[in-house]
Amino acid sequence: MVDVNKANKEALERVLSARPMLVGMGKAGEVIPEMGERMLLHAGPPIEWERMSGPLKGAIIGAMLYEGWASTPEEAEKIASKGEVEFDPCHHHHAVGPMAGVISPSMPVFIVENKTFNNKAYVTQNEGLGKVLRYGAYSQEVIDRLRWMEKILYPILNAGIKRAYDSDNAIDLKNLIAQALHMGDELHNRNKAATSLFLRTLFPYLVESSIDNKALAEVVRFLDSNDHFFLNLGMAAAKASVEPAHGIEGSSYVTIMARNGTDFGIKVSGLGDKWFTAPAAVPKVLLFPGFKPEDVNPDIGDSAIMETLGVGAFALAAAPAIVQFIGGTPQDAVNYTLEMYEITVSENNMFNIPYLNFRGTPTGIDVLQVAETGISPVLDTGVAHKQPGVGQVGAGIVRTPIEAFVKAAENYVERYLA
Amino acid sequence: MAIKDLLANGPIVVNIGIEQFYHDLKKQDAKVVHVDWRPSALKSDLLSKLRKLREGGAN
Amino acid sequence: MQRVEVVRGVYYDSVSLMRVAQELTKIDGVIDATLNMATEANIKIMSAAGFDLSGLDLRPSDLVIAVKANEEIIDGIIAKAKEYLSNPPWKTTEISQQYFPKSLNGALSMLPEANLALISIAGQYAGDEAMECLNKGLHVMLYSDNVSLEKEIELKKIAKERGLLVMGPDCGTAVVKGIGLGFANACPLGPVGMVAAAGTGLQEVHVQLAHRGIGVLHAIGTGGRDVKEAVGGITSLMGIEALLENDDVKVIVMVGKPPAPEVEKKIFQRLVSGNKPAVLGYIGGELEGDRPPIYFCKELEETAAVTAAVVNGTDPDLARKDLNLKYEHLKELASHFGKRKGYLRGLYSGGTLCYEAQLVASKLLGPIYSNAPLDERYKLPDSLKSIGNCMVDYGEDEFTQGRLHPMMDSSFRAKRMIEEAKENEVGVILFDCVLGYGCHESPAEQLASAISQVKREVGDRIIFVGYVCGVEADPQIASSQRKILEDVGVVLADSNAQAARLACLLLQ
Repeated sequence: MVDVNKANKEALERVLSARPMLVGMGKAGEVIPEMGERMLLHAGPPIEWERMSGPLKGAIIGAMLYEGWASTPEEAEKIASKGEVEFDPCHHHHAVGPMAGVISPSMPVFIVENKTFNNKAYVTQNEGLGKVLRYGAYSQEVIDRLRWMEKILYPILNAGIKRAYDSDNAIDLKNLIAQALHMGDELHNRNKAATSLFLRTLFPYLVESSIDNKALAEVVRFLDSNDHFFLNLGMAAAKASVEPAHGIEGSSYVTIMARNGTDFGIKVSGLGDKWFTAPAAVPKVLLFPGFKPEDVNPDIGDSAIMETLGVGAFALAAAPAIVQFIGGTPQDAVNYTLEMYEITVSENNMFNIPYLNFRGTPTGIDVLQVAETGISPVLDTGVAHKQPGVGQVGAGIVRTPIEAFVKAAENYVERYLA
Repeated sequence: MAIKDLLANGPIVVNIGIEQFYHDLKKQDAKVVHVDWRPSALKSDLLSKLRKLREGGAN
Repeated sequence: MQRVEVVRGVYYDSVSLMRVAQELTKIDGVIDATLNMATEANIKIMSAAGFDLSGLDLRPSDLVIAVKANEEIIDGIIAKAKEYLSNPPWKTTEISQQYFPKSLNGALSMLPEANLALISIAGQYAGDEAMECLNKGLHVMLYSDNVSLEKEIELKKIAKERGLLVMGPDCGTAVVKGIGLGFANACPLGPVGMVAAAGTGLQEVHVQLAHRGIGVLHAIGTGGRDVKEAVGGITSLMGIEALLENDDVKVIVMVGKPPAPEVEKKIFQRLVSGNKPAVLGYIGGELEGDRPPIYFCKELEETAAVTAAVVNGTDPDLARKDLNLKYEHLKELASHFGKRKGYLRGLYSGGTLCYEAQLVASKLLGPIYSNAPLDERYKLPDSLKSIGNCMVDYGEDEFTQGRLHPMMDSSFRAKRMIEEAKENEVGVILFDCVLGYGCHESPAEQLASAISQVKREVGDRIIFVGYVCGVEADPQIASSQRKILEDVGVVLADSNAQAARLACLLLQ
């Protein structure tokens, strides 16, 4: 009989031994493997245009305008619905994207390498809050910002990152995550500390490599005003760390959780390339003023890779400052973390929670334990408006749909115990 | 643990179900942890298969 | 009018749901309220209770909130139900300040030294959960009922192989090293060890021993079916074995209905060879004549009295004689209160207490009708409609599905008292009031408010006879519970057997 505990231990050890480093940047079309010329990557499991939710459609439209594949939103929709653009999940290309997670060929991406296994992961630069592409907005201001990020932000960050890397001081993302957990971040809905640490660490290299101080100041101000800038880097670090744990015979370790705004999907280490999906849940949300509960789109984004790694909502006990997002007390935050220990393989050896006496964060979702106990993982999340073009309406917490885990558990039984 | 030891040490309880029993054990200074129990998401036969698997793996 | 609301994809335990329903029915204008997970069984129960659920697409993971109330308030009541679910009015802040694990593994990671699981979840799940607990090396007390006989046998056989105890299913009471589990009274520790197939039987003997200054160290519950032929007394025999082995236990007491002949024989033989004094309290048993150090009793108070004598080294027969003298005196007491016309109606929360009362009453009044009769010929066709001299056990499954056990909530029984009193042919109402851990915080208050309403309506035509099964140290404090009942004119007896006798003697 298959030894599930041993297989999961192997998966866990791979994740715990990961060394995700920020090694460079590049244009998505040039660096992401098998990225087609007329291809758009998106968050979550595969989905066709017709079934896409508002914010994902909005982000696709925005990306097509940005690429110049269409000159109006209407034209973009027409092209997309005719199947003249290829859609593929980020996760099929070692990439991850927050919220809609759309990556188009011209977009600059960070390259994170897991030095233990020499695998790479890719992610875009974070746009900040408000009207942004990842929440499905595609107005001129959104496109203009994307262009600025390509023309100004990218070259300056790229030069700094390259300089750090060349001087043998590549930024160690795992280390930043561990530190940020002790500074009130849980690395999903709160990235204030991690973003600050990132900027502080990179700053000397940015200065050394800068040829235009005015532009550098613009970049630093942008990072300073965007508390979520590190989220994308954290996600790529998580992706690079967890991916080597996939494909272990007999393992029930969850290696991907992702949502596309319509479906929630997972992959499991020992269950091959199959996605196990269920309709995405609607988050419990703290709404920004002026929005109503019925505006809320079902859950969306690859950012659940943070919980897959063992932070995010799993580390809520480390982030008492954001409990208002979950509408509760700091004790509620602690309880979410404690609950997740009941469905995880182990505790993290590097990420820990001061309030829990430095106990390691719950790490490694075991799909069988989820199905057995009926406890499904919780996620912290941003919340998008249902309609394309509107953007973010709030932030909150969401319980992932148990059905996806049950399907995977049933498949596990079929595969290994039949 | 043998019955002998249970009687000698007294009950150290996992309470699964009615929460009142947990509070009453607390009142008696018994060691007890309450489980906020919910049914498994799996059908009964699948559940027992998986539990057997886990036990086997633990040995 | 009726309003039904369905909340999809949630889970709440039945006790929380029942408590919410209980809170809702307290609100003026609410006729009835029920909250249930939409399992097939629950849908049947709700339909039977008169809620129309037709045309609804219901799954077991749906919560059904159903309310009957005045039209003006009905929306508010549904909203109230949801508020209570998310923020239960009975929860203190202290409780919300901690984490309750949601799985057995989670619990064991918090309390790795645990040695016993007390399981009181719905019967359909309880068997599997008990098996998992055995797999983790835990002894099990299975409070849940509706566990199949096959499952019980499977559990007990596996447990026996591993030297683990399975108390139950349907085991409401146990005491381990003086700690009460489930429904149990706060009695002193002492040299007695019990094995009981009857929950309130155990409680009554426990309490009656305490009244006689005798303490109990362990009381192992077995569940009523353990002594049937199919199960073969597995837990009873393991319990006896453990008590024989335990040097702190000087006297062993068995309590329950008479076991199947095969089982009775095994128990008897083991006790004979064990050579420790033992009192066999088989309620309504046929065995006569003590064979010291083994003594045979037929009632609960008698069992306690004889046990006390054995512990104290006095003459058990003398103890029986004293008891009979006390029972004789009840005649004087009855004439002091004045005899009543009509029938006796007994309303019980304790199954064994109801059974014992029927045994007593049938000898004095002839056949007693019941939902759990001594003789199937006198089974009530409708448990909610009394016939003749009649006793109803509110702890039977038919009343506890979708409702709290009557020992946790007497309100249903209190309503029945008012109904019974409306019938001219009723002269005496007999009832029990069981105290202890696990029980309602003040059952006497629930019953007294109904009784005082009856008194206002029918005066002294009906006399209430009650028995408070409890001790001073119980959370409810026996004396204050007794006072509450005495203040509304209830005649209280010192034991269940005496209450039943007195009630019969009060009828002409």
